[in-house]
Amino acid sequence: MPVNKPLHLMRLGVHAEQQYFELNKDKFDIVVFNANLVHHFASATATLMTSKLNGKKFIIDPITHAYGHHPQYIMTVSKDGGPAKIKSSLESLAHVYGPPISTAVSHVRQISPNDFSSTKPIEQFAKSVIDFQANFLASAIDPSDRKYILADVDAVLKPEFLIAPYFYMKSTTINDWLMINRNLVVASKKVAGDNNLYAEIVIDRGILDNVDELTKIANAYRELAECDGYLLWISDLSEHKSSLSTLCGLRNLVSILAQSEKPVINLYGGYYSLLLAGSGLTGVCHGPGYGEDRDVIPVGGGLPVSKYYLNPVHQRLLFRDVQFMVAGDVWRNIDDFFKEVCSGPVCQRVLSGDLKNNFEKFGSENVRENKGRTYSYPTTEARFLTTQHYLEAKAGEFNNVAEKDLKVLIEQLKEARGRYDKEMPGAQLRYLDTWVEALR
Amino acid sequence: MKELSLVVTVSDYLDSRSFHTVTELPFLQRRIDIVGYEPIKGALIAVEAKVKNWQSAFRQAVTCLLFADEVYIAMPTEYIHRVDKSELARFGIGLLEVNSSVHVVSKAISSRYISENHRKIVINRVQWLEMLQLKGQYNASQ
Repeated sequence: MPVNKPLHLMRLGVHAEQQYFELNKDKFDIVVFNANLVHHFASATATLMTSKLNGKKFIIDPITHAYGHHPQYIMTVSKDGGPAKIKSSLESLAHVYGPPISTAVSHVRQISPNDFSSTKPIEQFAKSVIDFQANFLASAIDPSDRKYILADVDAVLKPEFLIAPYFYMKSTTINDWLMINRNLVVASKKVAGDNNLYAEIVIDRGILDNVDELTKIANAYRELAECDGYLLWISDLSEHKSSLSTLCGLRNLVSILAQSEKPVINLYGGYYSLLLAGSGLTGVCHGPGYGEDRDVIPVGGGLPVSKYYLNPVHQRLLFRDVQFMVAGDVWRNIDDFFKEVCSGPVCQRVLSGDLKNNFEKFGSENVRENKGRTYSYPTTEARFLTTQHYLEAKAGEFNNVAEKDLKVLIEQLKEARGRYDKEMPGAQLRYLDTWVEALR
Repeated sequence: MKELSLVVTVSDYLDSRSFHTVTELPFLQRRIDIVGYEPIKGALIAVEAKVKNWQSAFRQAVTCLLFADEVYIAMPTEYIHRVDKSELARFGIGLLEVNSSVHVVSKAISSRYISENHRKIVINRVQWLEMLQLKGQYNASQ
């Protein structure tokens, strides 16, 4: 049986991405902001939500986990050659959150379970994190500007739900953090008032392979009466690279939490997560063209690379690999491409007439030379086109999951594996088999 | 034998056959090891050189089929037996054996994946890199 359409969440990573949220306003349900971005760009964020995205629901991820890692992971090297410093957006947010976070940051140390050894710091911290989410954006609007805003500012700038503070757990730290994380949810509920409160469960992906650890965490949260829903962040979980055991673990985690009959949302997920709608997952979040997986520890970005989301295999592939398939006549003509891959507005507009020549627009690039080395990188237009195509494809996936039976969707995965495996030199489509097996 | 030696030996080989040869040519966010352009016939050859990992060279060589008439993988004599020649043949990619000289083990077949736009872009970049090399601004061995 088809399921209810999963909630479609989109994470705004930097304000430069606003155009995608505005252009695709009708294709997703909830905007997700990180708290440090909201705090650092308070006025811009408030203006976005009261103007271009007026009426759109949003939530603020308090990203409290950031203070639980070694400080080196949240530091930046000074441009003037001085010592590394805590990133300014996280440092200023720490002062909003107050002790024990601000104290730890002042001493350039990570927060530890010992910082929450009594009830008081837990309650203080929960209150400041909840207050920030509930009130900060509305307070960022200058009172004298309120008269120029047509919307009811306080209503528009109220998050769809609040998120309790949380810390990352891995196998060796479950015993340290699980009870504290639970207590933070309980304390948050006391100050959340009438607002819905969600618990964010952030764990190492290795936990999904360990039935005992997974069950311990899942049951601990399932039994939490104080929360109204769950957000999942499985660190560095790539649905395209994970083993069968890991993907089955994710399904198991979702199933246990869903027994509570509360919403379960994956904050970093792709198409496999969407297919877990039948197992109880009620929403999936990603960014504009990226963000289907993320490590809790920030990793370097590197130079941008053109990627085209190949809809039937549900993966962003290197543009050059898809161009190779186009050049090799994998699709006999443009109609075949529209039928098999994508007939969304962007592809219709870009590709109509001549598939082979026009497809190159998704991969147009510039070159530059710097210090004796040469680089090529996607043009602004190519990045726009590939991102817009991705967002159209994603919107289609959310609709498909709601409209089609899981058996039909699984058959489509098998067909895609058979159809494209031989056509992509060096391609790894084995994940499609793994997904099928994990969904049995 | 190091990859740089392979690249130098193959570049010299192409130079001696009237090709204008550049190395580390940026294309679709990769750097093609060697691209040779013969302006009179308008022929483009691309070579991906690897000491041991032929699969890695193969994956990169596939991208070259989008612009080059002929595409080769170059490997030293001691590791050339590892190459799956049938996989190369599937896409018409040729194989060069390199020791102190270059020996064509299997000749490449004209690429059927060429895009004229990409071909023009690469020819422009060959000329651009040659100019940078002449000005001494470009150091492919970095």
